[in-house]
Amino acid sequence: MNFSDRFIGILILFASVISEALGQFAFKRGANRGPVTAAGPEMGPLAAIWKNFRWILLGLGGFIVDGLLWSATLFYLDITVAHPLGSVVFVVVALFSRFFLGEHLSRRRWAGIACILGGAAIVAAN
Amino acid sequence: MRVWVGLSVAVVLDVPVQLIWKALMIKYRDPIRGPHDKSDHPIGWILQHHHWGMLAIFLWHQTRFFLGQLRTWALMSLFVGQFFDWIWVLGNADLSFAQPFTALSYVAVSSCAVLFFHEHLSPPRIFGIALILAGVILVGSSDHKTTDIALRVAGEKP
Repeated sequence: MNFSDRFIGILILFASVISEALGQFAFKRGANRGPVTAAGPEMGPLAAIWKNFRWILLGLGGFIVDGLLWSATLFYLDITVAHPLGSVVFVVVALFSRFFLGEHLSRRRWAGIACILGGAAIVAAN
Repeated sequence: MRVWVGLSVAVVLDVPVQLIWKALMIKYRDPIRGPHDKSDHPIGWILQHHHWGMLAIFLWHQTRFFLGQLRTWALMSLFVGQFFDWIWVLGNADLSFAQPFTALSYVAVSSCAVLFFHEHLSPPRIFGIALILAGVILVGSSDHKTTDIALRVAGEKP
């Protein structure tokens, strides 16, 4: 495991994290069930998948690319390095939710995400 | 309430996914039971033999191996289940609320490894699991949908 292997591995890992976040973002768009009334959302989940089919396809693409890039990451990096770094996905998804989906992240939610990031890194490294 | 059912299903489905995927890759790398070529890793193999014909033969061997495995089909069915469950969860909750819960599968897989494979849990691992649980409790106790809050604040009709 030389320096350039590690550098390439970390670059690919971040690309894989970004594509996973993109997949989650697209799935969230695809799951949009229309305006909510007192009777509940406008459509059921299956109708939403049908109506937002392009977002669903983009999401599936994101997860497939994520799987391929993650395999490549494991080719270049040891699992004890790759897995703890991979938990950065929790923060990236939170940032995507905040800036691209307009979700409100309370201080409590940020604190929870920080705990999970630390915990996942520790579990993955041991 | 329904969101919690969906989130629990997501975590429960992730355990067999992780275990079967691992078992499939163990078989894939097995020199006798896996596909018959001498590569350590498909990418390394492609880099060494980058002729199109060789690549086609290589892909054929890989595909035939995976299609013949019951584990592959079990994984695919689980993926389909996970997909519909996850779309349903995201239709009812914020992404930044739901996604952190997927960390619970670390906890579930660790617990299964201890219960079924008698693996040992080191103190740092126990600490990490406790931290994940604390984080999930914090996220879980936040409002689960932004639109509800936004509509309430703006005083708009939903």
